[in-house]
Amino acid sequence: MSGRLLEVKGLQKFFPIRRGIMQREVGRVRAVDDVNFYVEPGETLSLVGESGCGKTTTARCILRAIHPTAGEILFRTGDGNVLDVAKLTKAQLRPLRRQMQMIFQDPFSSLNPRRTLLDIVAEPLVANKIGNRREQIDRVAELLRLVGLRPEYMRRYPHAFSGGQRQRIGIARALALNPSLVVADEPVSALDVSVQAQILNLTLELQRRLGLTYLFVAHDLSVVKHVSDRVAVMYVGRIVEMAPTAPLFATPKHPYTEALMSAVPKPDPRLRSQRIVLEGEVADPANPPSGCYFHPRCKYAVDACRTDTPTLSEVAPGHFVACLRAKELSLRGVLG
Amino acid sequence: MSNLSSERNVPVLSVRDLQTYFFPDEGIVKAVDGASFDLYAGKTLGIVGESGCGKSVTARSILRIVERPGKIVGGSILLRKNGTERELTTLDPDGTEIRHIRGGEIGLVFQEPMTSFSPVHTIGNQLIETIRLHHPLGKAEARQRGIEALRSVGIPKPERRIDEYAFELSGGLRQRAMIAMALSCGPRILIADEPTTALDVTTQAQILDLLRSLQEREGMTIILITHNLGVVAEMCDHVVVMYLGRVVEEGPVDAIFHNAKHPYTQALLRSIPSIHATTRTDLPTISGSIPHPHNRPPGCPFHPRCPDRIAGVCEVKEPPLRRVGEEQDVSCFLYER
Repeated sequence: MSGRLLEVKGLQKFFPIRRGIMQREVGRVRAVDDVNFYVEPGETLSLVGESGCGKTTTARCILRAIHPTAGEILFRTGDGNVLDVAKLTKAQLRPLRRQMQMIFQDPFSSLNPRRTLLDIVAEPLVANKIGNRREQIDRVAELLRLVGLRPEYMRRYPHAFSGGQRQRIGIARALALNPSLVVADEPVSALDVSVQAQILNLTLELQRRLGLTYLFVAHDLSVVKHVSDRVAVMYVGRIVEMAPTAPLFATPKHPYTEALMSAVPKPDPRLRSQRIVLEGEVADPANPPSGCYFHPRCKYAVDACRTDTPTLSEVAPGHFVACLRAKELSLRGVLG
Repeated sequence: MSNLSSERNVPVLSVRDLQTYFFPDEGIVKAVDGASFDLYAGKTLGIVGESGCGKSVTARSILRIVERPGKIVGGSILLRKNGTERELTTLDPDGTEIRHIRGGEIGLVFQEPMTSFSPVHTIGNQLIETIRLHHPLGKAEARQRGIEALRSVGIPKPERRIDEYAFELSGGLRQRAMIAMALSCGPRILIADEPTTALDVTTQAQILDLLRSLQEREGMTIILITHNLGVVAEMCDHVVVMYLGRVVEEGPVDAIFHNAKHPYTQALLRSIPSIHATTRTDLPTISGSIPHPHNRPPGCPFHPRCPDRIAGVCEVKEPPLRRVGEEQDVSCFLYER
C-alpha cells in the first residue's frame, strides 16, 4: 500500500433480485464486480462511466453507506494506520467517518429545507461533539468564507440560495471535520454551465489550499478531464481502463474509452465529428455477456473476446487496461 | 422554379416579439419577454440558454400548452403552409385548429421520456390513440402504422415492443419511442425540448444521429432546445441564445461559436470545460448567478454579471436586437452606434 491513502482490492457488490411471494432470490445484479484501484494522497481520481456502470455503488461502498459483498478497502487514517474499511463494525467506523466525507449531486434535495445554514454546516461538529457553541459558530463562519459565501448568511435557510450557492453549502458541510478523503458524486451535473465552472474552480482551489484528496464520480468526460490527475473508466461493474488524465485522453487503450470520448459533442461546429456511434445498449449487469462485457458492442472484437475475460494489466507506466487486444490496437483519442 | 426558391426563403414559422408572462400570487414573472426568430424548412434551429431563460416556455407557447398561471400577453407566432399564414397566438388553446396543429403539423419531444409516457398504458395504446386522433384509421391499420413508426426510429422488434410499457424500455429506447410518437402523424416541424439531457453520452450520440437521419430522409424542420453547447454545435444550422426571457444573440452556428458578439454568449462559451483543454487549470467564470425571475434587473438583464457593462446605460435601457453581421443579431449597447 506504500504511501497510498486508499486502495481498493477485488471490491464486489451484488444486489439480490427477489421474485414471488417467498421473495426467493432468483438472480443477482453484479453492480460492482472485482474493482481494483488506488488513490494517492493529494490527488484526484475520477470514476467515469455511464449510468448503471457501478461508479456510484463503488463510491458508496468506500464510505460504507452500503456494505460490500466482498473485497478489501484499505484506508490510511490520520495517524498512519491502515484499516480495512470493508471489515469494520459500525462502532469502529464512527471515528473514521470524520476523515471521509461526501459531496452530493443534487443541491436541492441534499440540504434540509427546515434548517439554517448554521445548523446544516455545524451538524458534523455537533454530531462529533467538537467545540462549544461559540467555537462551532466561528468554525461555520470560517467554512462559509472558505467556500465563498458571506458568514452573515448563516441564519438563513437553503431556499434563499441558488443552485451553485447550495452546492457551496454542501461543500462547506463536507469540509467541517477536515476530512482527508472527499468523495464527490456528480457534484456539478445538476448545475448550469456558468455556475458549474465556479464550483469546479472552487474544488480545485480547496484542494490546493487544504491538500484534499478527491474521489470524483462523474459521467461528463469534459468535467473529468478538467479536474482529474488520473481517471478510471468503468463499464458494467468493472474498470476497463485506468491511467493518468493526459495519456488516457491522448492515447486511450480500450475501445470503450475511445467510443465514450468520441460520443461527447464538441462545442465547435467546425469539429462536427466522425463520431463512433455504439450499436445496441449497455449490457445488463444481472445477466452480463460472456468473456469481455463490452464485446457485443465492440467493433474490434475477435473470437477470443467472446470467451476470455480480460484482466486489468499495466501496458505503460501507470496505464492499466482490460482488453485482450490492448497492445495491437491503435485507438483515437482527443487532441490537445 | 423561381416560385420554389422564393418559397424556400419564407420561414415556415416566425415568432415576433413573443411575450409569455406568468401571473402567480407573488407578482409577474416575465418568462419570455420579446423573443423573435424565424424557422426555415429543413433546417435545425437551436434555442440555447441556462435554466430560467425561457427556452422551454417559448416552445410551449408555440404549441399553446403554456400552463396556468402563464399566458401569452403579446407578440405573434405565424405558421406558414403553401402560402397561407396562421396566427397561433389568437387560437383557442382547446380548439380544434390548434389540436390539429399539435402532433399533426408540429410534433414535440420532451426531456424526460419516463414522465411523458403514461405508466398504465402500453406504448402501443398511446401511439395508436395519437394516430387515430389525426387520421381516420381502424385500430388494426393504426397499429400497423405505429409499428412502422417504431421501426423508423430504430427500435428493434417493434411488433413486440409496441405491447410493452414505458418502464420496460431502457432510457434510449424510451426516447426513441417518444420521437416515434411525435413523428407518427407526419408533422413538418419537430420541437425537441432537451431530448438527450437525461441520457448517457453514447445513447445521446445515437439519438442525435437518429434526429439527423430523420431530417435528411424526410426534410424535417427541427427546433432543438438545449443547454448543452456541444449538442448545439453538432446539430444546429442557426442558434438563438436566450437569457432571462430575452434573445440576446442569434446567428448562424459558426458565427455564434467563432464570432460571438454578446458578452453573455462569449462568457458562456469560455466557461464550458472542454475535452480539448489543459487539465487542472481554472476556468473563466461568469460572476454571480442567474437572478431569480422575480427580481429581474432593470435595463439589460445581463448587466449585473457583465464584464463590459457601460455604467449609466446598461442598467437604464433594454438594448434592442440589432444586425451586426450577415444574419447575426445581437442585443447589446456595445454595438450601438
